[in-house]
Amino acid sequence: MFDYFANPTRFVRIADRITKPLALLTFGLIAAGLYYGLYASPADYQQGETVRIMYVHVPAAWLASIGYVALGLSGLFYVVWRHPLADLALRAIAPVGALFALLTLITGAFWGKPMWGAWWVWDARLTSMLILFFFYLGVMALADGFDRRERGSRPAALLALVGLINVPIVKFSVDWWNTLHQPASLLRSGGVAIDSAMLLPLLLMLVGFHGFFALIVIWRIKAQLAERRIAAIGLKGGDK
Amino acid sequence: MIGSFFDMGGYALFVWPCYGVTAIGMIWLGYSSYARAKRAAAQLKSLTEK
Repeated sequence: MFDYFANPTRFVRIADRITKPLALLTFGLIAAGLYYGLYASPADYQQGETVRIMYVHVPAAWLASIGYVALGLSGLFYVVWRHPLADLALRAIAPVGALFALLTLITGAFWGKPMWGAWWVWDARLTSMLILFFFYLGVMALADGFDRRERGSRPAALLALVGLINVPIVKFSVDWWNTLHQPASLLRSGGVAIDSAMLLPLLLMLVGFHGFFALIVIWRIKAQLAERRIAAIGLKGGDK
Repeated sequence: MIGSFFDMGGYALFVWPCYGVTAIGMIWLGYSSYARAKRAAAQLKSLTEK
């Protein structure tokens, strides 16, 4: 199946077909999520209105983590099978994941200050998310840090692969260590621990952010494919 | 009513910056990625049509 979708021509054809509906769906989901998240949902009985930060903080954190799994798998596909589309995917995923990791850290700080009394603590969850952000930056720096672009592909893929070890640490940090950060509310044994009035905006934003992530990755892969062809045409022209 | 919405129970200075920075980040990355794909496609088209 991977080979089927990893054909660049087929990728562009499928991507062209799904981009528009995906963009509309993403926009609609996020708009609905904002309406419910900011307006049509209750404040928390303990956290008051600051609970609304959850509707951007949790989806961003989720995408930063899942995005890293996608980044690591792209690295694996590139290192093992040397598939060029895996390299393009890695380069497309890294900036989106880095953005979400950064947003997680910023929105977390704005949530931490009123609730914990501190913008930042060197807590297991916060620190492991910071490390995840640095992995993203490292992968981006390696991918673009060489005169010839292709030379950065393998080191970036290897670093992406190594960083995978940090993903379960982020996820389970709240269970493994004594942290200030609250434990999982969605993916936990014993079921979802969140009221449906708050679950709805959270799920809308979560799915909407996934759509956004996919859109950006598709656009960035398409841009790279076109740029490579432009470079190839330029090289051919130079031979004449 | 409108005032209480923007006031966020006294936490406006914490809630709104989160939404603001998220919106700025996502719109910036979204627009730049879209524009890059459009630009590259247009350039490729002009080259292949020559």
